[in-house]
Amino acid sequence: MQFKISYKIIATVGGVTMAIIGIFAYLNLKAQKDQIIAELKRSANQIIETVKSSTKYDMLKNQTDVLYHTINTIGSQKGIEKVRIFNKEGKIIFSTDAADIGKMLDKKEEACYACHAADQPLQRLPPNSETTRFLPPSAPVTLGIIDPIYNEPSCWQSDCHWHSPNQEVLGVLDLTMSLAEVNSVMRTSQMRVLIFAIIAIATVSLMIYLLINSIVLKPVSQMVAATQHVAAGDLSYTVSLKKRDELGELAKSFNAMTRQLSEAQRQLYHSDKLASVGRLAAGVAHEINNPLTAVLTYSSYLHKRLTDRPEMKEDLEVIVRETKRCREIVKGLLDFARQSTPEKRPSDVNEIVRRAARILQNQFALHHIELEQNLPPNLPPVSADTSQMQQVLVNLFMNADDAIGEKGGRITVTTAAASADITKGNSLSSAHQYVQIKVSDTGCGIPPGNVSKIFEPFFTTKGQKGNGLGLAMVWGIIEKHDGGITVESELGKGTTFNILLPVDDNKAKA
Amino acid sequence: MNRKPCAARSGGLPVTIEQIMAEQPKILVVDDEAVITGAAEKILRAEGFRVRGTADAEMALTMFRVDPPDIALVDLMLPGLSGLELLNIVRREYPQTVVIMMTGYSMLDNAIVFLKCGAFDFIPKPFTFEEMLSAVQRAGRFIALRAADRRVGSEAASPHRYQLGISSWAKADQDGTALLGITNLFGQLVGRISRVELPSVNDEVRQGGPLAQVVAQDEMRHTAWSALSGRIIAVNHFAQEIREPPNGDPLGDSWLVRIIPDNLESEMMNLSIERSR
Repeated sequence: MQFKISYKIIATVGGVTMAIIGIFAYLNLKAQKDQIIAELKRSANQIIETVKSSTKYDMLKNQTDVLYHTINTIGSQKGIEKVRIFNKEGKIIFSTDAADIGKMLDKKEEACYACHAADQPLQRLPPNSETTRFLPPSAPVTLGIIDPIYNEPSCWQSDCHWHSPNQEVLGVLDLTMSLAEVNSVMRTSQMRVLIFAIIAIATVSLMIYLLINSIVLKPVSQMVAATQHVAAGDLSYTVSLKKRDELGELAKSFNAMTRQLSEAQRQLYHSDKLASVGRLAAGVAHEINNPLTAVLTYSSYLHKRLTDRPEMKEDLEVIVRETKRCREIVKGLLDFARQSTPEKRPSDVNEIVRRAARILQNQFALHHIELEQNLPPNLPPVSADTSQMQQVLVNLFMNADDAIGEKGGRITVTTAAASADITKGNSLSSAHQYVQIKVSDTGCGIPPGNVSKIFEPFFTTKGQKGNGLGLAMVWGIIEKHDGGITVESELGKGTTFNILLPVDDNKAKA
Repeated sequence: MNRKPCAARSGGLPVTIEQIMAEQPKILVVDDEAVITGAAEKILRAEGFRVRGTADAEMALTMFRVDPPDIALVDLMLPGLSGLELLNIVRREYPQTVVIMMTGYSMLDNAIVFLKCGAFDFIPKPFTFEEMLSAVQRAGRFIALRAADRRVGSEAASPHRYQLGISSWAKADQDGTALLGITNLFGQLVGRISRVELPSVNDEVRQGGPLAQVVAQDEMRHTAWSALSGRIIAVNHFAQEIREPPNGDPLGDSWLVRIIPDNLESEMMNLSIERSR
């Protein structure tokens, strides 16, 4: 999978690079070639002019030896293949290549055909007509250039009277230039472009590979590893990707997702546990009620009847008392199990707090506990069952009281309208507004190992004093209110419970 | 135990009550647990009642057809017919029989439904012998009172008082609080009252849960169930002092506690103006 992404990108970018370089190189080479050819043509024309002007006098004088000598001298220059002179019928009357002399040219040959269309000797070349030709046309190695030698008065007035005045064209000067140098320059340029293209593509590909590797592939493989961890059930795994790009964002939201997932799972697990404990408790209570009734009725009856046996009466009193204690335990269990659906209505959080505080004020005074209430006015009303919420606060206050113990201390309860980002770290909907209730104490704190257990039913550190259902009940009530509760604790310093309750919808919209 | 006629408003006809009380009520105990019916039979029989027991509701109905009991103690959970169904049949076909339901703890919602359906009272399981006996005693006295005076139970109902069964009444006040008290009838059924034990301020009471214990002079404790749920904000200590009322109204008409009700509107739906028989 990793290979595929980088290969795809490299292939695409490499192809595009190659195409761009190719087009650029083609245009560049073509321009270069055109320029060289133009240069060549210009110098060819110059040579022809040179030949014509330097041989004009010899021609007039009809000094063919000198004429040929001059042409040979010019023709021996580097880059000049051969210089030929044709007469008007196309017979080669002179050539620097002696083998050509006396041969007839085929006027139907393609190179000639443009001018000699009608199989007629040409009278005069039209202006701007092409006088050059590349031979062979497919892969030219030579550039031919012709220049007609026109009849002039001096030609037919000259002493030799070789030419008649009626003739328009006396012959043709044909210069053949070698393209070897041009071709070699072009080949070098092509090679250069090719090497450049290869290096460019290789460099670009390498850069892309390294870039993709560091920007995409490594983070992606980290993400893949993370998803595998999460899929395997390790919801505490986080991606440590400190990038400020889209993948960094992805990692961030991935971490947020797993965090919320783990919180949701934890809550689900907890609700499940509460529900099954509830069912269990209800079942056990029902089963145990009847035997307990039998024990209680018989023992209390015997206790009443045995007036003459004081020692047995005492024992029976123990049985009655302890059976009644069983009854209270079952009752507590069932109270926990039934936890009726809250009858929610718009309620003032501060009033709930004050009522809970009033219930415990005597107890607090007795235990030298100072209760600090920070209850700002004008909080939005929450949607809550006041008696259940009061029970929650009473439970939390009583826990705080127990945690503080004999030495005395302080409990602080603070209410506030919760800010929007308060829902981070729990599974509450961020679309909702919440009111926060914070209960802090200066008590003994909770050992770190126990923090995750305190909301579990039957978890207690109070021995005989507690039934381990208080905080489980708190948790259950808060959950039924669509709220959330978290706990922070430092051993020896104290504990803070943080409750979030949803603001009443109707009021929130109004 | 106190077998004497209690101080009742129908004080003008003591002979009739005594005549009826002389013949102990017939009791039928319906519970699918033999140990419960066994215990109830044994103990109530020892207290002088005529008791029979059965494990299922069909059998109970057969026994009703043969010889309708005066008092039926019916468990909530029964095989076949449920306790509630049996209650409804008995109320319809044998209205003279007083039904006491036996329910598990924290089944207060059920208990309230029973009272609404005409049950005389309920005893939450597991109960002590005294708790069972007190309910049966009150039922016995109720039957006696009813036989002596057909006006029993038609006590002048105050339009603002709503009752839970026969034990307590509630009255909503203008300021959002509510008053709770024990009905005259309950007081009459207890007999001679020694004292009333009330909860304290800041205690929570629950509809169908215990409100007060009325202790008779024979030390029998009678639990009156609360008509509403809420937090107690005031207690009428004067009511605790009442012992021997001159007018035959043992608790005087007075309220016992003032509460801030939790769910006044919805709980009021469970109460009735008319006293259930």
